[in-house]
Amino acid sequence: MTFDKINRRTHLYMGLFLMPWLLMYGVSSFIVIHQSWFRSEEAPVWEPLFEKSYSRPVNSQGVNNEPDLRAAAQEILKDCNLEGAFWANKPNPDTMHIDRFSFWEAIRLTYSIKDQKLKAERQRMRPNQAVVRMHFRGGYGQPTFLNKFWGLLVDIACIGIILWVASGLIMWWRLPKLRAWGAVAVGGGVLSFLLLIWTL
Amino acid sequence: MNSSVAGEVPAAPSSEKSGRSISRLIRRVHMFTGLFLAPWMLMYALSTLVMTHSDFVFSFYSSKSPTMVTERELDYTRSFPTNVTREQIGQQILQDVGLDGTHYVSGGKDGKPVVVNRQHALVAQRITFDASKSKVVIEREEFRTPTFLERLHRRRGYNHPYALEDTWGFTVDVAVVTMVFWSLSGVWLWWELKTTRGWGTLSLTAGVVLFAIFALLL
Repeated sequence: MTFDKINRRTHLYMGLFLMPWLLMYGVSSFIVIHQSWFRSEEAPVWEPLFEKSYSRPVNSQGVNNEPDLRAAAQEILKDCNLEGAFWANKPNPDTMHIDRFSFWEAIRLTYSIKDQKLKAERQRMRPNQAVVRMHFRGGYGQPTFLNKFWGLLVDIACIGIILWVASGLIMWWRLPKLRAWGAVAVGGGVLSFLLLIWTL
Repeated sequence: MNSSVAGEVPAAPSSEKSGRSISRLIRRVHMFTGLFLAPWMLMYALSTLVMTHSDFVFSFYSSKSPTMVTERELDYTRSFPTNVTREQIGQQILQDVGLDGTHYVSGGKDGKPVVVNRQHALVAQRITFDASKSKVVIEREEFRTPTFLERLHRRRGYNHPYALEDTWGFTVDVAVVTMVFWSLSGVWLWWELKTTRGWGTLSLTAGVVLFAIFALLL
């Protein structure tokens, strides 16, 4: 197999595999830029999920997402069968907030340490909001295998885009008939980009 | 088919001809838009890697935020009536020091200095007006590649009344709409290559199934 063929096949098969991610990033970026067109700023209503007596010591002093606070939040989520991605904070010594989030819903847990009460509310996302949540999700900071695997796929999508650019440039250069117009496109793109960055 | 010998072979039916020309057009648009938008795509891919690995990237720097370096310190004697908003004050200061452009204003309450954060793609500037000292201090941010990439990624355009901001917003719009076009045209172009249908089906199915699983479970 020649280098050209490997290059072409890499461009093609990687493109087909990563097509859903490219589509998602395209659609979600458009929604983020034009939020008012999609009612994305309108927060969905919070529905009560449960409220119960609950007791667990929380030793953290309350710095957002510090390891001790996250560990306590993870235990609370485990007790409620709600394990997954979350953020935690302690706005005052008696209250702890946990935001358990997924693409399609958000669950807000409020633990009143003084009253030993745990309250949970749920917010269901519209499809346009779910797509935007996919856009903003990445990295390896959240627990569970699926969250970390999604982080890996986001990294693969980024590397895929870099490889598309490189393999696309090679494919263009190997087509002598299109070199002139291709050079206009590459030159125009690079110059426009640099000019915008310089003046922006 | 080579155009120079086109007359020597039987003419293809017109529907086949138009199909080929549409296919050729899609192929060319796919390629030329890719070549033109390559800098935007590289910027988005690299900046996403920077943001998702920020702890690792910023471990190479002594602080998480870039340091601010004083550029100039000016005497500024203009006084503002009490009914003027801090946004209007910020706008006027920028015009007076020749730095008009995309910005946001903070501070200015309870006698505190008005801080104008002037956005730039390369290096951001901070203009601080202390009315009690009649002074304006202009600082610029130390250049850092990760911060620059992240700033470009987050810049959407259209939110400020400046033509340059709208121009950037328009290029971002073109880039994201073209991403959708590449996804769909890529599938079309692949389907025309009969020899790659087997492995292509496998790649596409694997991607779609994996994405669907995550979309449902995460």
